[in-house]
Formats: sequence, structure tokens, C-alpha cells
Amino acid sequence: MLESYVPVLILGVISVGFAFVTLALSHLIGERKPTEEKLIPYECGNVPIGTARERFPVKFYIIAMLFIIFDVEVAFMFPWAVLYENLGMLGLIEMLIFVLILMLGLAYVWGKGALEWE
Amino acid sequence: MSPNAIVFVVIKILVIFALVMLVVAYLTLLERKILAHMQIRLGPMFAGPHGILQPIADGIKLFFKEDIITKEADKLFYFLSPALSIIPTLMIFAVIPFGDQTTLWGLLKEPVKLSITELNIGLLYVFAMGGIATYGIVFGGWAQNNKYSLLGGVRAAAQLISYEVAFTLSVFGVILLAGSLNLVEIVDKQKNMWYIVYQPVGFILFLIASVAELKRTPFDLPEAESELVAGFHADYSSMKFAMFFMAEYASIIVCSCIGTVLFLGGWHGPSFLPPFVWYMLKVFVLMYVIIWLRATYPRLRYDQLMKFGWKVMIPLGFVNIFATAIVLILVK
Amino acid sequence: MIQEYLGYAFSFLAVVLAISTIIQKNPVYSAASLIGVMLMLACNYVLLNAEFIAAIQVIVYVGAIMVLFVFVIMLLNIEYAKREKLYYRGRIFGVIIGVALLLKLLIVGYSMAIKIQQGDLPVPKDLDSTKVVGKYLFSNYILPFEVISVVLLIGIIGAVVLGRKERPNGEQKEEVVVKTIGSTH
Repeated sequence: MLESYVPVLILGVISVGFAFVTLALSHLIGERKPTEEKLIPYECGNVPIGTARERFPVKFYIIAMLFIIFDVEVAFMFPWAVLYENLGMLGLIEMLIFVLILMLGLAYVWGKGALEWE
Repeated sequence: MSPNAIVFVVIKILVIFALVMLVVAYLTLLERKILAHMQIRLGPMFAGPHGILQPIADGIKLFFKEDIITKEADKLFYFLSPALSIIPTLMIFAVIPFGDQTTLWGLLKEPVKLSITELNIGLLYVFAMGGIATYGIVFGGWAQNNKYSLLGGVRAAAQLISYEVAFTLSVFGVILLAGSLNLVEIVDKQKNMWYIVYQPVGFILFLIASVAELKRTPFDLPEAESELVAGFHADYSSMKFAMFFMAEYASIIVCSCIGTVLFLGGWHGPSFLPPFVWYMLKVFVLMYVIIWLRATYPRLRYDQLMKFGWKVMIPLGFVNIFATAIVLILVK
Repeated sequence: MIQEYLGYAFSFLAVVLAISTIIQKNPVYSAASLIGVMLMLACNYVLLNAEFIAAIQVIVYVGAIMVLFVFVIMLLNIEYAKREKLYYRGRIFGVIIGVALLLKLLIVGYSMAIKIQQGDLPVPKDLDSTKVVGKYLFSNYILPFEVISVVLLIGIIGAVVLGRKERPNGEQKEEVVVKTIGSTH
């Protein structure tokens, strides 16, 4: 089994090499004439006020949190789907209970309006 | 593994690598040409006959462009992010099968597999690499210290993770039918009937979710030119910008390949064409559809995008899975 | 024995990255190092023939949990946070908990190593690890499996309750938004 991962490792090394060699080469080849204005972050011609790293709406946190939960759920569904033929009816019921409990959660989020981006 | 086998693998990787790069380059031209003709324009015409050398000209131009690193940008992540977005995308090609075993018209003594490797968890590997690719965008948007690109990066990440769930759910029908995560086995199971016939809803969900994952119209909000000035790569220039671009087009190929393998029967088809040609045809049809969508649909609003992902795609995905599961039991 | 050397290499990198996680001043660098740790662990799982666990490690930890971490860091903008104070205040507790965890790990690791040597814990080789996990999950461990869904449900509700605090005047508004990026121009 491990043998099938050797090509993955080789491809990884080649991809990393490709990415960094290309970036380094273009960095070396391209001419550079930096001026004060050129180095300002592009904001449609306005001079940027303050730093860009400002605080963010908490919405994104909720989305990321929901994603983790559904991702973990999906992770449990992979072995179920692969083994489904052997599990049969019992497997279906087990997974239905599992998913229905989580659907309650989605319904709660939905009802609370956390999925709205007003 | 013997040294010979390793040399053989390296050759295989280099061939596929070159092929992918070629398709990436010409996909940009194909897109410009298709869009142009759909809008009754000609598209690139000057570099070579019908602009056939345009991608090469673009590549050389980008290579010699000035590499601007803006003030207060985080140097390390500014440099790392383009690489972070292309490396995982390229690594997905490790598990994608491009065709049946072949002897290359009798050139080789033993038949070779037309994939770099074959993993039992092939599909999981694809999702894992896709998950890593998110960071190129998040860190890239953050590193530039540009308000638009940070907003674009975070938006992109929120969109990617929202649709990743739907994307994963859309393929469960196929896993249930095939009982395997191995992409070669999944293709082999479709010898008689393509899974798109059993999984029409799954295929539509897959197509919509992959367009969203690719950040393409109508889901191209993270790079919306008119509001975010190209979003997460606003301040990138030269080869760094090109790398984000290449990653994007390489992911189009990845998504088309995965769609072909999971739903369109991979390389199976009537025998008047060789398997590899069938495979490429299907991949090009899917790529064409993805480009076609860009010429047809306007951009969604961000709230519509999120609502659609969580309130339509995900519930529909679950319904599709359990409908498939119940039918499978009834059939047995 | 190249496998063993690779294992040492991945483990060494994991430890280096873990140290980098705690000594970096910039939280984004810390998060990036932690992502590296997770990836190295996944590589080690592959070496141990647990490919399913490796893939799930990447999908869940790298693809989801670390995205949340990065979001939170960006959300709060705790760049170059004043972490020095924290370092000193919690130092003794940190050392005690760290040593306790290390001891626990060593004990568990040692007992496992003995068990494996005695052959009590069969290590499946050349098996589809997805199927092995599935077989146990849906027969022996069915109750914990269903309980997981309840735990996840609590997670969902917790996220919403934390994220959408109701204001005293009944108006629903995000707490953390002080100044969004969109409002700067």
C-alpha cells in the first residue's frame, strides 16, 4: 500500500520545485524600479487610510464553525457510503438518525437567521 | 520500489505535468476565443494565426514583468501564497486516471496505467488537497495589506468552505453506487452505464458546487472586478499573479476530470475511438460548459450566494444521498 | 528502512513546526505553523498504513479547523498581540500541564508499544483502512457514533449563540463588528 504513495511524494517534490523555481526566476529576471507610489496598496487611486488588517464581521466565524461541523459529519459518512452494501437497512437507519440530529442544528441556525447576510 | 520503477514514475509525472501546463495555457486562449465568438467578436488574432501563440506571448510577458511587493506587505506570505495555491492543485493530478491500461500501440512490453498512482482513498485525497488550496487565497489576501484583497480573500474562503460541503455531498451518490473511493474502480463500475443516469441530481449539484469552488461566474464574487478590483490577488503582479491564474485554470481541469471520472464514465465509450480520446472529449465538454456559464450568467449577490449554498445545495445534497440509499435497498 | 527515516523526518519537522507555533509573535505565522504540524502528522499516518485517518486529518484539521483559527485571528485582528503578559502569568500552570500531558503520552505510547510487540494489537496491513474504520464504527462503536451527532449539534448551537448575541434593546446585531472593512470608504 505504501508503494502507491511514492509517486505522490515524488509529485509533491516536483510541484514544490516547480512553484519555487518559477517564482524565484521571475523575481530575478523581471526588472524592478520601485517608486514611492508604486508600492502603495492599490485602492483605485485613493491613498489608503490606516491598515487593511481591520476587524471582520462575526458572520464569517459562524460560517467557519458550521463548516467544521458539517465537515466532521461528512467525514463519518465516507466509511458508511463505502460499506453501505454490507451494512444494509441497519446502516441506513443509523445514518438517518445521525444526519437528522444534525439537520435539527441546521434548522436551528436557519430559524435564528444566522444564514442571512442582510 | 526499484530504481527502474521510480524512473518510470518520474517520466510519467513529467509527461502529465507538461500536458497539464499545455492545457492550462491553451484553456486561457480557448476561453477568450469562446467568449469572443459568443459575443460576436474575434478574440486574440495577432500572435500567430488566429492568436494561436497568444498564451506563449502572455507567459513570456508575465515572466519579465516587474515583481512589485507593496509596502507593509508580509514578505514571506506574499511569496508563499501563490505557491500554496498551485502546489495542492497540481498534486491532485496524482490520483486522476486519464485512461485505461495501455501498451501505447505495442511500444511497451507491459501495459501501463494512465495515472500517476492509484490510491484506495483517491477521492478523499482530492478533497484533502482541495482543502489545502484554500490557504493560498486566505494568506494571499491577508499578506498584501490591501483592503480589497483581504476582503476578497476572506470572502473567497467563506465561499469555498460553504460550497465544499455541498461539493462533497454531491459525490456521495456515486460512492454509494460504487462502494469505493478508488477513482479507477469507480470508472470500472461504469462500464455498462454512466453514473449520470442514476445520479442526475448529484451531477447537477456537483457541477454547481464545482463552479462555486472554482470561483467562476456566476459565483465569481471573490474576484469581482467591479467591486473588489480582482479581489484576493489585487496587488500581485508578474509570475506571482500568473501562478494564481494557473492554479485557477488547473483547478478547472481537475474539476472536469473528476466530473468525467465520477459521472460520465471516465474513458468508457463506444469502441470506435480509443479510451483516452473519449476521456479527453468528455473533459473538454465539461470545460466548455464551465466557460459557457461565464458567457451566460450574471454575478450573484453575496447574500444570495451564501443562502443558496446553505439553504438549497446542502439540504438537496442530503436528500439525494438518502434517496439513493433507499433506492439501493429497495433494488436489492 | 527508508520508511523509518521518513517517519523520523516528518516527526522532526512536526516538532520544529510545533515549537514555531508557540514562539511566533505574529498569530498568523503561528496558525501557519500549526497547519504544517497537521500535515506532518497526516504524512506519518500514511506511513503507519492509516490512509483514511490521514485523509480525514487533512480534511478536518487542515481544511476546516485551521480555517476557523485563521478566520478568528483575522476577525479579531490580534496581530502582534500583547502576548508577553500572558506568557508570564500562565507560565507555571503551562509547564505543569505540559509535563503532565507529556507523561501521559509517554505512558500510553509505552503501553501501546508493549501491546503491539506482544501481538495484542493487530496492525492491519494492506487493508482498505476506510473499510476497517467503517466496520468498527457501525458495529462495535455505534453508540459513540450517534452521540457524536449530539455533540456536533451542541457545537452548532454554541456557535450561533456566541456569534449572535442579542442586544439589551432586543435588536439583533453582531457584537464583534466594531469597524468593518466595507465601511472604511
